[in-house]
Amino acid sequence: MSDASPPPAAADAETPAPNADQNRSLWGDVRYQLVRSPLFWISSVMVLVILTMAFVPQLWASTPPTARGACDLLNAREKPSAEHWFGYTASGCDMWASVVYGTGKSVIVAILVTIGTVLLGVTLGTLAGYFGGFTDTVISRITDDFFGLPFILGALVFLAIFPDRNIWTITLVLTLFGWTSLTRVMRGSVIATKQADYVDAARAVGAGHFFIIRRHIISNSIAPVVVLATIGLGSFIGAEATLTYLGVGYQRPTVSWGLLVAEGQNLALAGFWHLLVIPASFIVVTVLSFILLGDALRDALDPRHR
Amino acid sequence: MGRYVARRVLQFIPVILGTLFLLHLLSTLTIQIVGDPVRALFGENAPPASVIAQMQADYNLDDPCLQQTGNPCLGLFVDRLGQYAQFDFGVNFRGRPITELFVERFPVTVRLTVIALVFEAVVGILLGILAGLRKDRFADNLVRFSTVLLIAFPVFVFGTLAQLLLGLQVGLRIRESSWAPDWLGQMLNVGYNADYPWLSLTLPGLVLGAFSLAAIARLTRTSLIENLRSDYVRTARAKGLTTRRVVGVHTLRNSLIPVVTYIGIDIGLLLGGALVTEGIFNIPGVGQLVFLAIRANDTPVIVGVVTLLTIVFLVANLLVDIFYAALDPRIRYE
Amino acid sequence: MSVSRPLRAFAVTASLALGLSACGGSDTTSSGEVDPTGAPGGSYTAVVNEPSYLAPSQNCYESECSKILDLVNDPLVSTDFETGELVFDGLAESIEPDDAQTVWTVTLKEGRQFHNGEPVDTDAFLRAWHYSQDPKNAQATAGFMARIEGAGEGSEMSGLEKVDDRTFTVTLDGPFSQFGQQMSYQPAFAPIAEACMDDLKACNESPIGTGPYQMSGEWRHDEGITLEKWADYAGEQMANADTIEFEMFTTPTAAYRDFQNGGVDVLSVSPEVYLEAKGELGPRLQEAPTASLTYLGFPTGTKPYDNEKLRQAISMSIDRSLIIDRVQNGLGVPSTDIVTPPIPGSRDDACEFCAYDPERAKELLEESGVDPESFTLELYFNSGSGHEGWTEAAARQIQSNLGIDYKLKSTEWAQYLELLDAQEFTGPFRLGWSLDYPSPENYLRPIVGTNGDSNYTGYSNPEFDELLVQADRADDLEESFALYQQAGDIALQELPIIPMWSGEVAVASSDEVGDVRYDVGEGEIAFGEITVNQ
Repeated sequence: MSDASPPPAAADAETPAPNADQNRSLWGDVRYQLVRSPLFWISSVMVLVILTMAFVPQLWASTPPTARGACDLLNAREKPSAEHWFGYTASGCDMWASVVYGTGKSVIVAILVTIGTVLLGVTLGTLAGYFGGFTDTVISRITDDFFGLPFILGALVFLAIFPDRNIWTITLVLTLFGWTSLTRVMRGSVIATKQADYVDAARAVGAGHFFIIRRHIISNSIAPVVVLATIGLGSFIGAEATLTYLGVGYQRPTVSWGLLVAEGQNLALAGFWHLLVIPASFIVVTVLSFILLGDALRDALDPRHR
Repeated sequence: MGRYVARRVLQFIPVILGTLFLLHLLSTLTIQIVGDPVRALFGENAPPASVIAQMQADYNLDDPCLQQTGNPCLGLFVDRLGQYAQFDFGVNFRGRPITELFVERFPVTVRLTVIALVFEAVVGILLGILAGLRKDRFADNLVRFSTVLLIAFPVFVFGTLAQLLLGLQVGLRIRESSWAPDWLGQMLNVGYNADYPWLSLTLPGLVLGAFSLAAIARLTRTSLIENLRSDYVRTARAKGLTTRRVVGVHTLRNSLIPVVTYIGIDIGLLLGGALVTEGIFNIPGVGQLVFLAIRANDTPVIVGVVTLLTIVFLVANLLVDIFYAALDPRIRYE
Repeated sequence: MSVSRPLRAFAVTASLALGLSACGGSDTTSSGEVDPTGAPGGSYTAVVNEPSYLAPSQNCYESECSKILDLVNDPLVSTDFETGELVFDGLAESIEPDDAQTVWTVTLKEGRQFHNGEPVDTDAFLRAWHYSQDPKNAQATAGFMARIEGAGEGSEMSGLEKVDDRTFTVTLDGPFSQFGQQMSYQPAFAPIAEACMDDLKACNESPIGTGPYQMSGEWRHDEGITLEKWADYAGEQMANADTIEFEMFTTPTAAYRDFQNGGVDVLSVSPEVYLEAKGELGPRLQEAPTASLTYLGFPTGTKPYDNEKLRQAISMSIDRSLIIDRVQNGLGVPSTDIVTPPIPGSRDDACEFCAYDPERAKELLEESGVDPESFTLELYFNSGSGHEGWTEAAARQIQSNLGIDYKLKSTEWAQYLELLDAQEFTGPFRLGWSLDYPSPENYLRPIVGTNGDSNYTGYSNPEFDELLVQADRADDLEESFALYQQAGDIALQELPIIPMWSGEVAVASSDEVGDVRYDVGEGEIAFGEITVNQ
């Protein structure tokens, strides 16, 4: 352990000396940090690629698998070949087109749910942690109430209420049953942060609650939330698959990554490995990209980094 | 501390009532919207109407409010609370008391959860420390990448692969061999073996804990990196303390706060995740019970077991909160 | 979800037709699976899911409880699957209808006993049947008693009359030539011992039966059931192994993993692992046809599905063989009739519109006058039960062959059934049918007959109903089959439902056991015949 180099020193080396950038705003700092990080560039490009797949799949594959006559059962399960690098799905659709057109359903939901849960979690967690007392009691106990509810039962009911399942209804359900963990983690983190000397100092010079929360509390406590949120992004893609498995997720013939993985699993064990490996690889690369981007953002946002 | 515990226990009452009410609302809405579970028991060929009516009466499903979508059925909720107060959580569609089913199976799930928790906490924290101390070096990148793999695979895929490759391909060979000790083969089994109540849960426990392991490793890493940059660590270093002491005494305890919070949350998530894991590995636990009940549309079991689990979970939560207060003296709960 | 309801009828291939006794030696099976090492004795492990009820057996109306009860109970009578005739290999010595096919006289064999020594007499049957029909008792198979006079009205029905200790008469509320076949559904018509009736709860944990096996110890809920040979068995059913261990698994895949691990010896392989098993097991995996039918029903009262030509066009635009091959992994036989092939009276050329012929389908669509662009075909199925793949494939074929766009609609099973009962479907819907007794009548009347128990299409054709009634009154089986087939022709012309395929099952066995055979009559592996290699 003794040879562990002190990370603070390393971090300091790549940051300008404190006080040298007095007139740069928080976001100016962030920008300055980001443009100098290769991780940020690699992951942003990946994320950009994934986002274009999600929003403009036509750029990447000409025919959607839902188009008339796009799939032929005769081709079902065909393995990758020179013409079709990714082979065919179990329903005889081109795997590449299916994955590309499935991106939207999986990734947009995951992103929306992540945004939703982070907004709710950070707001409520900060309020509960910072103000404590009665506010904390109310928010925490409501969190407990929702936290005890089993996701599956809730999802079954909610999606039965909305017979037309689309991105919005699935997002709503996943958010409704997913915000509690982030709230709790944020609250714990804020409680620890608000004891810090600089918060006392800010308070002593008469800074308002809103100012302190904005300037000090959130930026100093958000790290674990960012970690969990980026992880959550990956798990929400999986949660969509679970919903589909239970019959309350997307309806076929819609394609989504979760559907492809669930469908490919059994056949993979019978020798059709590409049915599982290809959609799973897309999930892995996506999750990895978002997590790396999250890491880069977090490093940039961390005030102690400067 | 004593006052805090007392206050927390008092608050527990409205929480549990609230959760029970939400549960009641969900199950009532399910029946109102999804349909009559008694009818679903029989499939395509409907039995005589009188048979269905009798069964609905037997299971308290004949209340007219269950036909009115949106009606919260408060009367039924009060009845239910009365039954819960007497530890009566109903019977399943085969007439067996749900408490009995639960008590039979809960220890198995607890063992599974304990294995998963110990595994994810110990390995996760160790990996996190390793990665945090060697930020941006090989070990760190390896940990970050391998945890992404754990996160990205849906648990049913991961579980099946582990069962097939480790439990069967490797495990069967070990179990059939003459040289390997018995316990090793049981640790890599394809399913639960009642003769080895702990060992045979090892592999499923690892599968169950895998996702959270990734989360814990990443949380620990981030938290550690942050704290290593903080003023008090610099002060400690400046005082000439060794790295071991800086990390062990000053940094780690603070870094573990979000990790402990997460582990507390995770107890609930694990109980939910056990549903899939117990299904794959054929483990006679509570998750399997719910899994089978969902498949068989056995609503009384789903509601009863989920209620019991919720109570267990809320109690666990309470304990974690108290532990939390003990862990971080800066947190003043006055 | 195993909602299939198997029948209790005995195939001609089983022991009885060859006149063998229960303790017969290794030469007993006629299925071609004769294993020279096979001899009575030993123990093997099989798979069962948690049964609903074991006692009274009248409450058993699903595959898992009847799997156990078929071994624990003797049938009243069985049906030969080749000819459709009754086989008296059970508790009844004879079952005779009067000329009007209305009053049936049942005579029991002498000297048969329950496991606890009580005699199997008229009282034991009357006790059971009266109990079962009483709506107060909410027995799952109460519907089987519905044809008996006075059933469902109180604690006793007027149609049952004791003649003496071994004889009783059953009066139906109308002529029904297939009542004998119906009585071969064993759980519904089994007798109940007095000791069992006195304490049904205890009996459910350890049923008192009349068959070659009895339970060793109590029912270990969600874990397993152990059966052991009953030493004093005097009946004719086979019982080779001394002990059968039935184990329960959460999923069929988990059961197969245990099989691979050397635990389970015999199991029906689920479709999910079938391909995998096929690659691994070779000859130790055998496929056999079942009597279950998968079909698509039409809401015949809803536009445009009220158009017969459109229904025919849709049926002909689906390539059943390709779907079976690529989606069902080859398990299944394309339908040629509503009645499935193993059933006496079924035909392999009855369904003109079940053939795949896209050209003809297009012609039929044109003749129908329905504009394919004018509507979206909404195809319904229940979710989470493995129907997603093939319904989508069928819809795709309809789309590419007929130019009709589609939408897939899935709901949870309970909701699906509500929609069915209310007949609220707005497009074709998927359903399966597993019969109760091996008669064409058991397909045609419930699924297609006016107000049939499982007629969810709203279809009603008096001519069809009349042919069924005539067939019910027929003097012999041949005549009744001819009439049922005429009725079938009407249904296959008007197509309120389109038959898709009949089922196939794959049975895997370890090298520890021999004489493994799927009994289509039982709808189950013939567990009693299995021998253990020693």
